Amino acid sequence: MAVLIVRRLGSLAVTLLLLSVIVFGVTQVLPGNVAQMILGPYSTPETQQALEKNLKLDEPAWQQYRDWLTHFVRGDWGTSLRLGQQIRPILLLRLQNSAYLALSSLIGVVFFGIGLGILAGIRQNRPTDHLIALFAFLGISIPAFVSGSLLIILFGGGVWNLLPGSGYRSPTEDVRGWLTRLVLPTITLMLLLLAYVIRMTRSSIIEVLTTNYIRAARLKGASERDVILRHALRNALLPTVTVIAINIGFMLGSVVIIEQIFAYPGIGSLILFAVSNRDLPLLQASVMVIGIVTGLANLVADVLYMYLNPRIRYR
Amino acid sequence: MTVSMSQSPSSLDPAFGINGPEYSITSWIYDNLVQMGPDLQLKPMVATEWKANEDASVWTFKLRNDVFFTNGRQLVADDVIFSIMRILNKDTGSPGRTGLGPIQTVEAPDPQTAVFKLASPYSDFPLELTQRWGRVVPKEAAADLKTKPVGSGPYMLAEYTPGAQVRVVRNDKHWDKNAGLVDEITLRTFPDEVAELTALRNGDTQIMFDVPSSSYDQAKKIDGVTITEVASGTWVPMIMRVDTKPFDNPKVREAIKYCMDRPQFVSTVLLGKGTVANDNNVPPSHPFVWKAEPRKQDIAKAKALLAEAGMPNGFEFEVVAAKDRSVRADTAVTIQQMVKAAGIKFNVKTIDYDTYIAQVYKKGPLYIGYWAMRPTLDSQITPFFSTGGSFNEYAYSNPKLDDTLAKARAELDTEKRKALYQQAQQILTEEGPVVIPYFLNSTSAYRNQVVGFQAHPLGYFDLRYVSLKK
Repeated sequence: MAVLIVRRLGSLAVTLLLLSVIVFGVTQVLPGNVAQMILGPYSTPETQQALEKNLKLDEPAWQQYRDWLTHFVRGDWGTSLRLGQQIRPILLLRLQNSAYLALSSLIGVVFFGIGLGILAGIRQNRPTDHLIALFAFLGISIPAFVSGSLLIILFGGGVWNLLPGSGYRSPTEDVRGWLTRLVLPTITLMLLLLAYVIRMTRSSIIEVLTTNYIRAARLKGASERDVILRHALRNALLPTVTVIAINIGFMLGSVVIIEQIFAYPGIGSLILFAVSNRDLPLLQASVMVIGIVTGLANLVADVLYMYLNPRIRYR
Repeated sequence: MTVSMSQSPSSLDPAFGINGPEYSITSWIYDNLVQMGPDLQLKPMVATEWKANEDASVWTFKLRNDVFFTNGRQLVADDVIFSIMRILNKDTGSPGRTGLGPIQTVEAPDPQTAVFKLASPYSDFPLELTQRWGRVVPKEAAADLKTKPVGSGPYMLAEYTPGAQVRVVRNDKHWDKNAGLVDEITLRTFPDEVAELTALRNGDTQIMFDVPSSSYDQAKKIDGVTITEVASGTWVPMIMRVDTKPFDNPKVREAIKYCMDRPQFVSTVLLGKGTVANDNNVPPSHPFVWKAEPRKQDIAKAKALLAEAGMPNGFEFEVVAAKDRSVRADTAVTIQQMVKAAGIKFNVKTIDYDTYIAQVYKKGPLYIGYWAMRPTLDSQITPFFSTGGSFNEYAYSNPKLDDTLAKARAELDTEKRKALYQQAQQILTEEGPVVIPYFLNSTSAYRNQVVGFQAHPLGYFDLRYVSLKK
């Protein structure tokens, strides 16, 4: 098992290296330049050139890449061209915010997804099943900017003023403010993923319930509750774990729409800002960090999968 | 008090500011020598009085002696020198380097006097100092101003979360007892319009700085909220490069101008939130505006002009609009519809902003621009329309206009200056290379307990004198 993990970490490193080259290459090819972005529309070409020289942007691309890489691996993630500040503290703070959102959504998706999936599975083809399927379908077909805005209008002060519609509070300063501000974005994010988990869980439950081993458990005299929760669930969870793991990267880095709607300062918005402003150091660092976290999350998911199912082993 | 904007500041250093939030926040933390209110009139701030020599090339400002930075040190004329030279210094890389006027040197004959020597006469020079780059900063704190501002203004920084919010608290040692009337102000960034409006609706925010036309009606309906709007000088031109056929022929340019149904632009594109313009970029709210009746749509005249230019059946051309602001494409499509009647076929092409900046801006023959208003008429007109101006996208060169602008710039007598600028506007309207059908309004919304807040034609959102009713 340990050898496997080490090997996986090795291939993760190679993947990340490739990722960094691709991101760097793409931004070099895009039109527009950061000096123009920093100095604004009223700047003259001479001022822009002076700034580019200042920021070492006139050096050849491979040299800029090499400088960046050597610093990054040592923990120096550079300075944001647009913000003029150290990238690491900003990036880590944004990552933390995104992690809170991803984690709370994950918990929600696991509980509601698996719970509703089980319910749909054991009541297969009955009204409950259809209702849950409809709900899941709606969740996945309504785009985040619609569901998010609807939630704000309904609960964030338009119709009922129950929850803050937006913003950010640090948990160390104001726990209640932090939690209440997490609710609506979490629900929005959950809705996008619930369908997968519900469907996967439902199918696995249905399939598992027809196996001999479940029949044996029933014949043994185990209560229906035990049959479901102790015997069936463990097997049904396997594909669900995979689905959840695949979505960790998405939940962390791609929820920029939700972040924009709820004015939630996450890492997705930071990447959007970096791209819009051609802030290459910020973009590189952010993408690498998401790559690292996604890679590690997938590794953890695989290990978890192997733990849940001792029959599976990778070569 | 909490206020909202759709963008966030990239840095708190006034030398590097270019967007709205950066203007606002630095205006609370720092002082300028002079200020410009919504009536576009110059008023004192750190400077109590100012005067020019006979040809407006040397300006002397007298400073207050009771202004202190938050680090305890008194603000003196040397600080003014430092702040201005910092902006002018190439190595700083400030966008304001060419934005403060032709300053050659700044001197301090005594701690309460600052003398600006200009490279050429400039009668409106003090107005340039009202911009963000005119804010006075202390030399000892200059290295960290991006995140640790030290100013002499009515507020001080309390908290800065990049991309989310900025919070300032009152500076009790501020010299002006009529400024800094609120305990603390928080500026929050809302990228999404719905969320921003909802926050205003339920009282999470008290001022929404910029109300886009799509939210106007909803904002108006909110109980306890008032709208304030003013004709700003933000102009959306259609650039016609005069070195490219057929726009090199003034009759063709005039024909296109006659196709414009200006009130229609205001009602369709701006949903009523704008004012009609007359193909020059001086807004109706400016004291020096040329009060002529805007050109009315006259398709027959347009056709006749085209025939005189040798194109009785019109012509076809591509007009480019960048996607960063929807108003560009909306304007392009509206123009397209209006010129159809005269036989002109415009094909609208939308491209992303970066490609526009790289390939179209200052290069393309026909495209839609977007410019905010500048503090002086000279910086509003000259860089765009004078021969060789730094923003002359039109390749336009009119010696008569150049001459009028140069005279106006040096003219100290207000009435004479007004007449000269009115002449310049007339030249632009009649022979100029640009179609300017409207000016946008600057619209804000605030809750009724806010006192003293008003929309500003330059989009300056100054909360210095704003207070809250108990």
